[in-house]
Amino acid sequence: MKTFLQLFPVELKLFLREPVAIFFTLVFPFIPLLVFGTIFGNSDAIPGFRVIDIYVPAVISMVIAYVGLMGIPIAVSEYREQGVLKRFRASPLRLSHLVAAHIGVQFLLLAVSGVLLTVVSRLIFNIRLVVDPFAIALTILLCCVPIFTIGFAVVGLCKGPRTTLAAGGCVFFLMLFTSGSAIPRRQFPPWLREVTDYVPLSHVVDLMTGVWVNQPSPNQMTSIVVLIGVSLAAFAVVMLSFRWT
Amino acid sequence: MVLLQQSLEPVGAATEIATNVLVKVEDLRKTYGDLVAVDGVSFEVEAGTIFGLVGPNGAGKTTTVECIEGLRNPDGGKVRVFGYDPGSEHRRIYSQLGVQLQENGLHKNIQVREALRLFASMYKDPVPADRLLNEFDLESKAKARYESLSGGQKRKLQTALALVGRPRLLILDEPTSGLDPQSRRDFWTSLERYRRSGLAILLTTHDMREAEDNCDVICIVDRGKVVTSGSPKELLEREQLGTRITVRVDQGDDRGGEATVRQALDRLPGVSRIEAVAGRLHVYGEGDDFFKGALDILREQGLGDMSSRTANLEDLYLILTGRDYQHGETH
Repeated sequence: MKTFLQLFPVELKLFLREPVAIFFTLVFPFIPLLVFGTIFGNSDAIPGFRVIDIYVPAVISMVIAYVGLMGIPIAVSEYREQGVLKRFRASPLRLSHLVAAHIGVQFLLLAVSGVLLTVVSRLIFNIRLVVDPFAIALTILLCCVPIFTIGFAVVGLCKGPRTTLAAGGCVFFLMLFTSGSAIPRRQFPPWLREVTDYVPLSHVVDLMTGVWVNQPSPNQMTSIVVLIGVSLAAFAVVMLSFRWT
Repeated sequence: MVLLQQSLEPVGAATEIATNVLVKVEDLRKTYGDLVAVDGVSFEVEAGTIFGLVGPNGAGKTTTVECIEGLRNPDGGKVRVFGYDPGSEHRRIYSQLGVQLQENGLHKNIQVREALRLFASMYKDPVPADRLLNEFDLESKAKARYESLSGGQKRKLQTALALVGRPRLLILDEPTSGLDPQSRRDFWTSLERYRRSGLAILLTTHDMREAEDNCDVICIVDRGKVVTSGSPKELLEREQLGTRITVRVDQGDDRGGEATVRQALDRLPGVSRIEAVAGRLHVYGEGDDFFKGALDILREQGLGDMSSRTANLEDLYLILTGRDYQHGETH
């Protein structure tokens, strides 16, 4: 525990010294929020909510996807490549603690990002807020499980940081544009909506949006089952492919 | 002391501690595909000694220490650290083992003091970070990021990290590579102090002379096998190498040619060995008669391009392996 308490601030400082990671988690999400919000924000989305009112959970899903599919995989892959994991294996530290501290830092950043996005949307677009903060925080945590596990599967299947970056980037952008986190799926033609039901991140966006408007979607149970299934499948891949060194 | 080819008796934690043997390696083997990296290496490291695993690059030194550190699984043989198997009892050994790896392995953005504090937090009674900063002359770099350090400073920090937990056993892989001469002297002075406090120190180096000057026990490895081992003094006395005279010779058997010179020297009393390497003859022997006699013969042969020095472990390596000792070091 003593080591974990020491690891957490070190991991946080290391993250804050990495401009790219800060940009993608704390700055980048505002670009789609502001652009999309200005252009389409005022049209009606679902009864009682405008498009911008329900866009924040979609953008938070985007941040979860970035952190899980690119941020953590690249960091873990670099740790492995640069011999950091090996160095820690030659010490009393458990590598799981290192990864736990790293993920803990990412959760903290997700929280900061979520609060900033909400506050800015409220100030600029005066969004309608009916969300229960605890419910959404819990939902975010649960949604991280499948996405982060996919990220670790990517690290397991890729050799170096470059391949990990490329593979993680592919999965990230594919999910970003097909899940409704960048473009709402309500705008999709019905066939595309059906196809994108198979994208794990779609269920993250649907679940989060349901909690955000305090009206669980009729497919909530399906989404939960899909995300649990994805977690288990990705976990199996991690167990088969992931190597510390 | 090193005891080679010992009988294979069962190893238990209790007996190890009682006999002060902290590391025991028996017939260690490790292959990577077709490459046999370690081919039946055995040795022991006792408390209060500096044990040098010496050999050229690719001799299997790093693979050997990484098996001892539990970072690699041996293909054969047995390794015990404090009586425990480093592969399966990893956590038991690391509370008392400090390690410096050959690669650097710290995050590029971590600061020197942060790294020391982080490692300190892993142990019950760590050495204060500032004391190590002072000891390794890194005070001015306390806030510097790891990537901004010079190669030598990185090495020093890694040595400090290995010591932060007050270990009983220290394993250092090429600790002096990249250090300037002054830092090297400081390093060995500092290591000697730790040895006197009772630590067992196992280190690898490709620098034979440095090992000869600083290690209590040396184990020379080459192509995955132990060539010889013992204290440097013992090793040199065993082969009675004494002084080495090196002379450049011609090919063939004319006057001044290799065969003729060799024949003339063979008859000289006091000559213990003659080795031919790349157009030169190394003549080993002891005593005033040997030295004077050899110089006379060489002059008679019309040879002037010669030098002499006290024989050292590089000569022992040459004699035992038939090859000139190549550092091949590019650090």
